Amino acid sequence: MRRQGEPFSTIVTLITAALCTLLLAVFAGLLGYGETESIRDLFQEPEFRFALRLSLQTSVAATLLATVVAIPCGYFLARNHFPGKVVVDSLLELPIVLPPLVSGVALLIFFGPLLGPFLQEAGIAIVFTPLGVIVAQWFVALPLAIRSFRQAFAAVDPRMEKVARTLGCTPFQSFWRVVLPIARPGILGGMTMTWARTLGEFGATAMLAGVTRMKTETLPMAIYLSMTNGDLSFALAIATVLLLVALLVLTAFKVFMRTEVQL
Amino acid sequence: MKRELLLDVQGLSLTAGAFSLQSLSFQVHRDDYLVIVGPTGSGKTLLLEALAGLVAVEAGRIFYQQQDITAAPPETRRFGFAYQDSLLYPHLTVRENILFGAAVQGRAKAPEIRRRLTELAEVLAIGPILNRHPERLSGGERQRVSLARALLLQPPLLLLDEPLSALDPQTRAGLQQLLRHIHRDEGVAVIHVTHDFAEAMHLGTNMLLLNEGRLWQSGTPQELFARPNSEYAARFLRVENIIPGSIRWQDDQRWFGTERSTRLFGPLPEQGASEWQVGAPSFLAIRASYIRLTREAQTESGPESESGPGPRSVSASVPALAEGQAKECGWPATVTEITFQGSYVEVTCHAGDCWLVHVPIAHWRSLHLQQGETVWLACQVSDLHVVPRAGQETSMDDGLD
Repeated sequence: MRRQGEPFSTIVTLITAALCTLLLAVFAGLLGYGETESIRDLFQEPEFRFALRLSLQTSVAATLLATVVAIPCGYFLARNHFPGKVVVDSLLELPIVLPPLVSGVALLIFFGPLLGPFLQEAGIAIVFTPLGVIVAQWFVALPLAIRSFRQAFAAVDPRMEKVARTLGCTPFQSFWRVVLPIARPGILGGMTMTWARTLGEFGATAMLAGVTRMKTETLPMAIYLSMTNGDLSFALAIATVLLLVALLVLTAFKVFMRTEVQL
Repeated sequence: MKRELLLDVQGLSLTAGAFSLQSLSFQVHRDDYLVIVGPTGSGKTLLLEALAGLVAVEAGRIFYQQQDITAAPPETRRFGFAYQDSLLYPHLTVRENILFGAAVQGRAKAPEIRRRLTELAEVLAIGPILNRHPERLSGGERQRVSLARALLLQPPLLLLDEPLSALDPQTRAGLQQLLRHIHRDEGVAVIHVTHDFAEAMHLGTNMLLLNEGRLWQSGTPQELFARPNSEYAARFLRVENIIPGSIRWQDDQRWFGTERSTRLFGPLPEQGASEWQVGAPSFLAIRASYIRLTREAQTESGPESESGPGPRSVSASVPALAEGQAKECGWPATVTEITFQGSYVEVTCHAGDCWLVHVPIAHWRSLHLQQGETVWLACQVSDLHVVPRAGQETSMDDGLD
């Protein structure tokens, strides 16, 4: 006799299995289409090594900067209710829903005609420079960090902090000794996803930092440049490396933390 | 001997979200175990948090040992605080949780702190679990650790927000003993919010009843349970018999006349009754355990009720009381329902009004009662307690302590 509710379980299982199969097919196609020799030779290519180094440097820097800003913002949003919070929420999450190209154009105008002269006087160059890469990556990935940190902080019972206060903690000490350690898995998960987003950032970076070979050339830029030049095998090899790095980082994180990274 | 005044709360008012406190005044002495009862949303937790300095006070003053601490941050007050769900820090072991307050001060390894930890571990029976993480503890263990954490630095005042409500009856009974021990032997004053009236009676030396952020009544638990000051208090404190009627004047004395049966109960004790005007609609509030149920009527005296044989003063033969003091009021009733409640039997009787009587099992066995039988109900005149009907209460929250 079939148990009640079984058809529903079968349907959701089938849909999940179908989606996994589709994703496997898509990524297997990418892996299979590229040539193994291309990947092996890739690490000898100065252009790839430059793009890899720049990508790692800028993505780590952007992730750390995003973390520094997103921790107080996420905590503030998790703990406070005020009139107009929906508007503030929407503003902070705007870069998530905006096409990255639009964010890039906005950044270009802000750091170009608007702020450019002042920055120039201060000796800071952002537009069409590697620093611009960090700014663009930071700008696009920041809302993801805020959102995930906010969820992590909201999951910590505010009364934990209250107890800490009665045990002698100042507000900062209760945050540092109680909230942050308890929210640590969520914070690390958010940082991982933020880093993954910065590593793959293309649209905003292209607008603000430009697509200049061996100057602002991150791995996504390298793929774009190779594709426009018709060097498909080089592009596929880089894409494969990015895919493997993303898979490796995500899996390692999940195994290490034994927790699901949720966005 | 003069009692040491620890906490003096004067006109405390504040609003936090949907909750508020309105002009609360009360005092806590060092030897007090103050229990706070009240319905959900009455502001009990908010009051504890205000005393701990966790929420800002809008009006009024809090004095601790004559010092104004109204604006002092919680870390300087150092009152122990334990919530219902223990709130242990999951990233720390039991030992680290208990030592948390000392670690904040950089004293976690001080010899006196280590001694105190050993002492608490022994008293609270948590020695074997000191190296565990909170997720591996039972509810009772968590609450004991939470108490140990709050007590480590020997706070003069312990604030407890329903600390035992989520525990099973056996664990709860054990922890109640423990709290009595902490209060009595460690000399810690306690303010304990609870929904459990038995717990309030068992632990409390004083009691506050809060409702809608106002102090509704204060006194000893025995006073509140025996003599609630209003219809609301009587209903909230689950007085089983709340009989509608009014104050009558007869034979130069005050009596309570029931609405449905026009029976007279009394004469009412002057204290309490004197504040109600004759004719004022009111309720007779009397606990089911204060009514005695017998098969035979006692010798009767006193005024006749308007409806013939009814309740009247009787010279009761209560050996414990001196002659003249032992006044009882008795009336006949018909048994309509009998319910066994474990240690007592709840007998529902009809005598115009519906009366609930709790008969101890030992006494019940000698009665051999059946439904439909006529019995005699009696209570001491001093237990007759009249409360005003809702909407006619006088203000009871001014200057209570």
